Amino acid sequence: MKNIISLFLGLSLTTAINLHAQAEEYEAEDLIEYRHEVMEAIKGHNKAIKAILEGKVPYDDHLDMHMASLEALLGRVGELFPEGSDFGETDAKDAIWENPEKFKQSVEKAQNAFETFKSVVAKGDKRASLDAHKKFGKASCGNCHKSFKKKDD
Amino acid sequence: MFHLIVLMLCAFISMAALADESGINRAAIEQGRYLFHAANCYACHTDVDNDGAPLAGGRALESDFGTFFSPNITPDKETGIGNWRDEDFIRALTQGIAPDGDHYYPSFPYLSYRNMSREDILAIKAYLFSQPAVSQKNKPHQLNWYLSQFTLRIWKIMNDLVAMPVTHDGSRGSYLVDVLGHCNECHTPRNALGMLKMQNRLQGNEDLSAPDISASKNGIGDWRKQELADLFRYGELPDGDYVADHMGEVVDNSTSKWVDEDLDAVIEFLLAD
Repeated sequence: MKNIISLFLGLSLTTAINLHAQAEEYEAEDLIEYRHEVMEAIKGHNKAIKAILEGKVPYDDHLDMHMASLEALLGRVGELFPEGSDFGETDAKDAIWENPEKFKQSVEKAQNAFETFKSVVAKGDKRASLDAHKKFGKASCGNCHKSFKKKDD
Repeated sequence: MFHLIVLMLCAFISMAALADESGINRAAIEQGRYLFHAANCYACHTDVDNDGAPLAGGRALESDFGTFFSPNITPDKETGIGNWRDEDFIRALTQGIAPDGDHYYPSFPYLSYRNMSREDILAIKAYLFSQPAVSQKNKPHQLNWYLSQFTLRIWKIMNDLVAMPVTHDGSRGSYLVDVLGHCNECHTPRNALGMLKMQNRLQGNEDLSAPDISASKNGIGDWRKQELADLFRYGELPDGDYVADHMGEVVDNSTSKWVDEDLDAVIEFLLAD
């Protein structure tokens, strides 16, 4: 058990060091631009899901694809804010780096909200799914933006 | 005579239903809870970023004029508003004057709240007084050198003389937007002295990154009613993004709690305005 804990701690530390080293190796502007593109991708999949659930487009068979993509992207959001990417053309608030634990909790809340939404979608009721989608958006994107995104709107 | 007795009994039963054994008016507190959310008191009077106690103040509000710190509005008698009488509370909300005679800076939106009904103001007070008292001293503002109680009083006189007042048209939608929700405070541009330019009502304030929400093409004139409903209920914007920062708090603490009738009234008012 002790070995497992040591291994886990070691791996966590290595990952943290690697991420930090990666951030230092790359241009902050490129990291910020990449982050922006990933956020736009999240927005795109989320909007596509809404259009399908509202019955505005004949692509019901795309729903699983967008759900899987959104889930994958949400799972990686926490990686997109390395130290040193907190300046320049970014809407990210300093609170992300000043209070990383709170930010981590907010990202986890978004991921949990997605799980709830996914379980409703799996039942196949579009009306219920659309309702769940609205609640998911508020609890995930909305919640995170409230504390960690500057106003640009 | 019999009818009079029945009438008096009914009145007595109604009064008894409103006030419980301790004399607390539960109906006013419930009404106050709703109005408290509609007026978005929580956001400014709670230092959420630093895990501050609800309504104990201390939240920093940064501006071009310096940093304002919101005061404690819990019913604590030493550091909060526990000793305030009804008339003190009404004067604070309608005239921006504290019980000790000090004037509040317009970071406190009394210029919007001044049109609130007396009944609604006292309901909010009843709700605040039903909340836990928190002992926490108010932090002094950190303002630019030229700001003081003296210059503030001059500003208030000038504002009353020069600036168009925030008004409402008597509709429920206007009451929620212009009075309780105090939307003009952020979404209406200000002049160099910080006075609201009501002739450009709700046309946005770039300094605060607050967008134009007038019913024009530049504002929300092209929005569908459902898009506005999704904004107020869930913070969702028509382009798929979600509101951020202060507006996120407004949605979370205030607009998402509107009853359906109020939501409809606001949408109708904003799109017709």
